[in-house]
Amino acid sequence: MKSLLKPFLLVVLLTFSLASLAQELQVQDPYVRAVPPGSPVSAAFMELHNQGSEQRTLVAASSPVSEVVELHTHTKVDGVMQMRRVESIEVPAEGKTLLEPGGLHLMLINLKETLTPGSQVEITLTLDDGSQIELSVPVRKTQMQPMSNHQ
Amino acid sequence: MRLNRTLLWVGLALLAIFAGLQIWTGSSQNPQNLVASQPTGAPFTLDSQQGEVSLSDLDDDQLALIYFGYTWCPDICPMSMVFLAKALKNLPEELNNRVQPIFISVDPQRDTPERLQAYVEFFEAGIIGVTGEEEELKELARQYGAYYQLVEVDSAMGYAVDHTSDFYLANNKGELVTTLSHNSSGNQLQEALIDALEKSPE
Repeated sequence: MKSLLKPFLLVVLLTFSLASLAQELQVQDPYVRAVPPGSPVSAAFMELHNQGSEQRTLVAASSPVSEVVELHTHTKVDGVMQMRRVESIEVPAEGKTLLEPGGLHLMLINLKETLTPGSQVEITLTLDDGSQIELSVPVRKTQMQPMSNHQ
Repeated sequence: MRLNRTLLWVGLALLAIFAGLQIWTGSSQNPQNLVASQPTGAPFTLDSQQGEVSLSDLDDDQLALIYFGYTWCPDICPMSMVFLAKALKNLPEELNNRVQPIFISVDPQRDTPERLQAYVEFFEAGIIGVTGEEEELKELARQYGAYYQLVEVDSAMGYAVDHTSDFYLANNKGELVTTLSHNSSGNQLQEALIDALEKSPE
């Protein structure tokens, strides 16, 4: 009896702790950009909302559809767009961080399949406390909202 | 003694070469030096999947809407192409027929004409994808007032392409008619196109 109870309790505890962590950081309106057939790269965008009283930091991401997922940003220097990898993306306590066109994004590199509009892509976010958020993200054609500019 | 003197001269020569290299690479890091201060445009003939494409193929009343980009660009280039497609789609037909959008890839290492073709077709705007030799592309970009630089980055991408993201309207002689800003939304781009087409000869 005792030997059965232990794993059961562990599962219960784990489920509760994961649920509470996931509630702190919420992801809204995620999407992956549909790209031309054969394209090796795409980008994922989303809103990260931190309900908690501590800063949370996104430190990594992964997806079965690409060999690598990196955290990237765009900056505009002397009118030149520069895309660079960043180590992490911070979400302030009780605040939000936007991953949006022209700025921060998840870069999906070496795609293993064509991302067609309407399909769903699994993306896992890893946070600085080791917790993970599993997302099912729709593939969308580029939206018509203007780019954020960095002027 | 003689050996020492020879060594000294060799050392000095190496120093001079090194200094020269420093100046040369240093200046190429600065976008301002590579962009023509008063871009004039230039005629060009580049490779597409359908063969060579030249600005001189355009009719006298047509303008090329030119964008310098690369297909490994996951964000800025597709956004720009979507704005371009929207602007063209909303043009009255008689004006639409007078614009030929051209996507010039500045990343010929990765963008073959075949890849470019698949890329431009995706945007359904009649865009022609062209590329060429690196030296030729560099000079062409400079003449249009565009800047780009391949930069080694700490990423699975290997290298990134830093780039300006404007549109250029040119006639069949390769003369730059106007430059349209990177932040032009589809509507602004459309207005600028109509303006330029109405001013240019029918």
